[in-house]
Amino acid sequence: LIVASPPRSETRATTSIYRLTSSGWDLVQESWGDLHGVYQRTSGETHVFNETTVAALKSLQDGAVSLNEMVRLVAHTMGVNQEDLASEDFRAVAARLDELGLVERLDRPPSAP
Amino acid sequence: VTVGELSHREVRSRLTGNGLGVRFGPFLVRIRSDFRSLVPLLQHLYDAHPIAPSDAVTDFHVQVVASGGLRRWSRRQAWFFVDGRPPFWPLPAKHALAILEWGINWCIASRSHHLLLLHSAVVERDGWAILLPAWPGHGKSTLCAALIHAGWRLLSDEFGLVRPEDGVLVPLPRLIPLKNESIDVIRCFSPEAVMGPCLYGTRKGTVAHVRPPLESIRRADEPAQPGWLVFPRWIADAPLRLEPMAKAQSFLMVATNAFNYEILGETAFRLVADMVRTCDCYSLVYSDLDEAVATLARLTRPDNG
Repeated sequence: LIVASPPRSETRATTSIYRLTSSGWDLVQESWGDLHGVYQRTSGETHVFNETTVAALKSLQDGAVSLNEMVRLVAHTMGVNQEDLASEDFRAVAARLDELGLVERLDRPPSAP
Repeated sequence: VTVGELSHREVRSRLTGNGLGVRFGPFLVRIRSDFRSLVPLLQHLYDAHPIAPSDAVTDFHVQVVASGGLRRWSRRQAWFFVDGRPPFWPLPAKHALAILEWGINWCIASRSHHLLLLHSAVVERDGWAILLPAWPGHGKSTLCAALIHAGWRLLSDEFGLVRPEDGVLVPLPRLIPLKNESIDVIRCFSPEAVMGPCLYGTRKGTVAHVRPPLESIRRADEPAQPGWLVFPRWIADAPLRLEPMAKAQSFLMVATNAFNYEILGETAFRLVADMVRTCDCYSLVYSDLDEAVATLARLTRPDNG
């Protein structure tokens, strides 16, 4: 079981573009109000995500978006002003989801051979 | 036919022959042993458990046998074998019953992946069950032993067996191993409780086994619906506290405490999620057993919401 605890020191540009991976499309979810249980079929891991993280995943369901766009979509889903959401938090959320293999960053520089 | 209906000679003959096939809930365990001391203990404590025919399909073939060589004569030891292999080190011969009971639990925990195995006591009344998941030392067995002597049916002291097909709880009424102070606590709470001898100096201290009420064994094929998840914790002198527990926290506590959650994967996730969704979830801190039993009786009364 993995409880999501995003790293706080992530520094990535808000123009980074993310999309769901095949793992990110293949999730089983259970909602408990503010928290959500998410079973990742491809790894067999269970995650507990907060509402923002689940909304971030949902924001990618219509295709790849930039981090800025993700913040806007999540604000819309959660019914809050975009200014109320800290983009710093979204960098951390996206980085954690990337680590878990649920999203991938499209503008990532190619790794060395 | 039950174990108690067999003569001493017949029990001994089966233990030293093809095995004494005992049914524990959904499992058939065939026990072989050369320990004479086990014969009266099994007759007494497995009294009401059904005997299986010799050709019935057996889930676990287990043996409790004395060590060979010099150990046969000095500091005799009891080895537990399953399918001819010992999964753990032996215990002193005087703890033969304890190693048999722990061994059977080990077999169930490590090999029964057709069911979700929660680490939880389960008791039932009127078709609805309370699950009492807890870590060792939190007073689960003591509370469970008290409840089954206060009108609740024992489904299990150790394993919450969840059937994947429909999420119901499958009974596994087995001996309840009480430890140390809990032995006298239950003797005082329920003088009529049937207990085996005190086994002193085990790795868990003094252990005595409580026999499930006969009614619980007779009804071992009647499953129950999960109704409440209550996470007990015994704390000396603490005032009783029964508080609702958040669903997410309940889920994590049940899932991380299960024996085979990781093995069952998505099936386990769905079963635990369903259970947490449908059950009322509470934490219970207690020090007084009477008070705890009365509180759970009130909580589960049909007119209580």
